[in-house]
Amino acid sequence: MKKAVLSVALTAGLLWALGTSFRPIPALGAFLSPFSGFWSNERRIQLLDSEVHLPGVQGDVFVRYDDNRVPHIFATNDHDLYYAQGYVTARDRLFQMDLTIRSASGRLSEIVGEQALPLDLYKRRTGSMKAAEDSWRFVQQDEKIRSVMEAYSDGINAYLKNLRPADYPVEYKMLGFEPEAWTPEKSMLLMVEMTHTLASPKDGDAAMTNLLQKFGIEVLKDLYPDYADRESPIIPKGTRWNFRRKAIPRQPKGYDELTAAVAEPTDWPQRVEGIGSNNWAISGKKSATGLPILAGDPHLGLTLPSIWYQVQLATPESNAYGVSLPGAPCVIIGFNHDVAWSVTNVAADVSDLYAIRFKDASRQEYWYNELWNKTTFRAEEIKIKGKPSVIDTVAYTHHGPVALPRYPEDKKPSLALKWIAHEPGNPIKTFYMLNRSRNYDDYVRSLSHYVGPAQNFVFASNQDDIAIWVNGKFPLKWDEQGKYLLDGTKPEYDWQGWIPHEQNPHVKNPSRGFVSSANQSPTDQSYPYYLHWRFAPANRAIRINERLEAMERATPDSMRALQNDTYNVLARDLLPTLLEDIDFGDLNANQYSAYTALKQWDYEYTLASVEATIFEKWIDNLPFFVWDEFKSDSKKPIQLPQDDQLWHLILKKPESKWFDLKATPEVKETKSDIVRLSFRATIDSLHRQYGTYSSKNWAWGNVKGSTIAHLIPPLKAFGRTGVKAGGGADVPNAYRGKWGPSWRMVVALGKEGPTAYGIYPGGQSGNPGSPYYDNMVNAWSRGELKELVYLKSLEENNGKVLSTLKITKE
Amino acid sequence: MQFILMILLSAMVQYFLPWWSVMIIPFAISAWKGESGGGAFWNGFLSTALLWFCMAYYEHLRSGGILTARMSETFQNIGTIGLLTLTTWSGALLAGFASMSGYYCRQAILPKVKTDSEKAKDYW
Repeated sequence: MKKAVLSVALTAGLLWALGTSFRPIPALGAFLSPFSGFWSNERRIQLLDSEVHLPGVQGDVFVRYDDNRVPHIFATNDHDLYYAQGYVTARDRLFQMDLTIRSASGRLSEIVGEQALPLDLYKRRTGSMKAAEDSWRFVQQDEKIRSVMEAYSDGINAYLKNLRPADYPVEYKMLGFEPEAWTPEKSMLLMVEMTHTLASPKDGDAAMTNLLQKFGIEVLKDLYPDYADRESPIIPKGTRWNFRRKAIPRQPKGYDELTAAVAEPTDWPQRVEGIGSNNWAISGKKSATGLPILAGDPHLGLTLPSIWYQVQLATPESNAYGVSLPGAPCVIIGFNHDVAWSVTNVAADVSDLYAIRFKDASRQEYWYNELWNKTTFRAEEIKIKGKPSVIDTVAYTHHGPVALPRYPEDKKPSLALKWIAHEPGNPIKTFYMLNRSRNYDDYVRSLSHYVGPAQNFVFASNQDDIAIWVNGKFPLKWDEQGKYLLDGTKPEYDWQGWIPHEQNPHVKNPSRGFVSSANQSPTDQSYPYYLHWRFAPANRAIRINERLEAMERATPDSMRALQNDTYNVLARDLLPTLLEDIDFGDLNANQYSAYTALKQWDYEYTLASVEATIFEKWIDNLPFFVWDEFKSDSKKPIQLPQDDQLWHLILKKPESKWFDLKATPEVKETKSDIVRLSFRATIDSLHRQYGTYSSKNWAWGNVKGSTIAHLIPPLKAFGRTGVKAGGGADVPNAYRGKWGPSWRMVVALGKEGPTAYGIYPGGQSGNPGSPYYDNMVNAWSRGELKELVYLKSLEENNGKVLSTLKITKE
Repeated sequence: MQFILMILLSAMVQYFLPWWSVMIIPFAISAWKGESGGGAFWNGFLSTALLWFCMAYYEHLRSGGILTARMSETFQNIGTIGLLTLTTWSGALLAGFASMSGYYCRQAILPKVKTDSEKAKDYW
């Protein structure tokens, strides 16, 4: 008896030890078992012909996999097409899709615990889930798109239904949770999440208001102008606007209601400066083929698995190829037989914060239009792993959710968020129609359904048309509306209508023979509507436009070379002026070497360039020397002037008072003093950080980041380090550590169909045990493109097709 | 015989049930046929060690070991052999103790009295 008790106790103890997770180590028993643990994930590599029977298909579907594991889906109708897209995408990217949605809906705490609570609260208070629900309700009025989205969702669930726990992606086994059924709402939520990334609610409105209070409107007009000095707008300068502009709302007088200091919450995710992309198209007269060539490289966070998933989607009526977002049907960036398109972000001001006056602490009524108005409430339950749930009740005004609630003891106003993500839209309709477009008119019709996040849609067709539309739904604003906090108590501060779609900035077949965008200002100052006071610096755009201007008889390889171009026009325009002020008699050995190197620099951001390292750090440091007056004396967020404003002062206003340092009242510093000071400080800090000046220690390749991390960065073994490629934020090849070209595509249009190339830094499979998990990373870092296998028909014989998956009715 | 039976049945059960089913067959067989505590332990231990090792090694081989390498990195670079060892020991120990428990539980509830000839056999 005693032995039995002892033996059972020992067994139970061991069972407990192997069954419990000691974070970050997963529960070892389940994880190590070769029947259900990580070992079995190694076998999820299907290369052979196979057949599955699924309940949802109406006819037979053939999925042909090429040597890059790209699925080429051939179905007899739209329903089966998107059903199969859902199925194969889930097969390769299930964990990514699930995680993205949990994060987007503010449910991360459920799986990782309390540490994710601030992020979850942010998502709830900015109303992500409600935005997705409203959009899905809106989409359901469109019979076609509703059925597309339902078929896609059903396809994902068909995959989930037959999935044994042993076959769960390995990340589930490590983190100890289970996949969840898909819904079309989740696909809409993915679109909201893209709006979060590209048109973040954190747009500096509160920071700008703090500045306004500190410096007054005159200083802000001077240092925060609404148009940059160095600019090369998307719609060529001088393009005429052939429309009757709508009446623009009048600007109300004064911001006097907003004297209370306000701050954006510090736990809101930082807006990433210069997150953006390039795209362009050249017309037949500039190309070697006589027909347009289109190129696009969206810059986003680089992760494994990649944000993109390549796919070909074919039915008897349509045949599109390109990249999709795992979790949404259709090709997002790509081409078909006749046309090609790509997108870059438009950083229009589509998120504004309104100061709200509640009647009392119950928040049931707020003052607006001389009346007390009722709020509505939405209770958000946030489940937390290993802890009781948190209930957060979010109040909604007619502006939107109160994203930043304050309570009675706090004198500051609550802030409500008016944000384009809350405007119901049907983005999938745009992509569904683009996938089927045959010409320019089809393309424009597709774009008219798009709300946000606004994108510059570049276009080319084999009828030798090229075009670009700055496309999205833009609020009709008075000048600078939403540059500062808005008064939520008065109707004249509301968004009062929209810019008509046909008046969005656009150009077709401009005389210069090319169209392009790189997140810069959409237009010159002649455009009658206000879109935003700032856009990304124009450096990439200036370089791209200079190169395209000079190109003749261009080939796809000319486009590839420009995507990988690392020439910095900012350095060319600025550095000679900076170096004039350096007096090399005063320099120590390191400083002298750096100075001599910069003197001879070709302005290229290559891996071996020492000069790129020095210049980059120098211009990073310069703003702190010049804008010392802006140093925040409290926790209030402060927004420094745009860098472009600094270059403007250095190049054109060397006498500016802003060069004088506040810390030394007895000395009056000039531009030259600041240039010298900042140069020496930069070299000294480089010395401290990377050792003595040498071509190896200070090489750009060693200094810039080179990691592509897994979606969950602490899972280091699932990421890639040592990804060496040149580039920087201000050059066309915008690779800088975690950010960069997430997909590079070049499409040469042809009467008999396109020839296309593409690559992204990742692989089609989301399984870290698959050879297709990161197989494109090396070629991507060398700047190569892969020829894309565009099958014209199911029967086409192509040596690159390795296997076929047949889906038949169960 | 018990040993072979344990491997075959245990493999089948583990294919369908979660990982802790590694205990079921060794416990049951030792409860049914076990002859001594030590013997039951080693039967459970060795059969599962062999089964888990071979299965894990097979999965590793047929995939080129990409995931094993990444997992090894996560487990402080213990290497393929380290991971195989850790896996084998985890399963084997648990199965061994379960198997021993099976024998002793049976003995506690329904003791098997040895015949004289069996005692003599044990002695010699």
